[in-house]
Amino acid sequence: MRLSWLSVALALVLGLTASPGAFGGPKAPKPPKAAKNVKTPIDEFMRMSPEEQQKALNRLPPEQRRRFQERLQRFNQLPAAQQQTLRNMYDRLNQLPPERQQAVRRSMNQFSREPQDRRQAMRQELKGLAPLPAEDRQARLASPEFREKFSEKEQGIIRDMSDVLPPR
Amino acid sequence: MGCPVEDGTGAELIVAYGARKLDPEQESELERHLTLCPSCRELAQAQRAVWSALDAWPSIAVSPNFDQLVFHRIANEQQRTPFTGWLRRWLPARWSWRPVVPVGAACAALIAAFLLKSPVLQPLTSSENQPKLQIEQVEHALDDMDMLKQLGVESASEKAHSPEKI
Repeated sequence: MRLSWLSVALALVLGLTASPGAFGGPKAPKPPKAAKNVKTPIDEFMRMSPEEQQKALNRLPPEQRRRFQERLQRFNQLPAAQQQTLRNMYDRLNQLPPERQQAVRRSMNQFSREPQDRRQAMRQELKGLAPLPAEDRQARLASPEFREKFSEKEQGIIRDMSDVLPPR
Repeated sequence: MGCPVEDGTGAELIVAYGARKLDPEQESELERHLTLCPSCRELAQAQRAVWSALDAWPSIAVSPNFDQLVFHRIANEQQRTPFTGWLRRWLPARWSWRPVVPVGAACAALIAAFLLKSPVLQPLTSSENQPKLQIEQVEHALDDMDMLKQLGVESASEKAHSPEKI
């Protein structure tokens, strides 16, 4: 009798713990996420009440506060589509590992120091890469034409910056 | 008569002597021995003292229905303990508590496994748990937006004019 009760208890424990999905077991694959509505710290700031915004702004020195308000106003005056494009790229940037984020930021700084005509050429290249799927982007970045068109430094900048282009 | 303490019959014999259950012949023989053996005499005196004390105990008057009252009271006590009374009514007559131990252990193991794996115990990731938005975070986001905007990946509506900085 005792043996049979022990068997029942053991079967209960083993059965429940071994069943699929129970207590951290293998789980069914999750359905793919719907396209998320990207929220940046700027959006969070804009959702704050005027009193909370003012309280946060008061932490900045007057000159820095003025510049902040001007930049924020310029961002808010951008067309909605451009704001969304920038939000998506910001989200891509922030999803990268920290060291890649730093590399991309360095490249963007280098980009801003390049001559106007070279910036324009790199911008055109990025515009051409943006609509391509990941495999085609890689093929383009490895192509002889790309290598001939840009210096090694420029190639590195474009490679880094292509990391934040929205996926297609 | 030999010494009853030495031959191993002492206890029985002296207890029977104290209770006055020996026949007269045995009693007189033991009394003769007691005059010669101080250890047996001491035992016999102790026994007699016990019996004298018992004889002096006043008997308490017991009601004629004493037994009936006792059994009735026992039955009442059993009914007054609700949990055990309930169990006794519902459990089979041959119920044994022995299987409760392994089943209890199994339940405890399940509860422990559930608590360890339960998402309730995992750290909360809600926005309430995150630190409040810092103004510096917004500034860094604006910095990033400035840099990203210069990439020029724009929507069709932006192409008319594209300033380098926000």
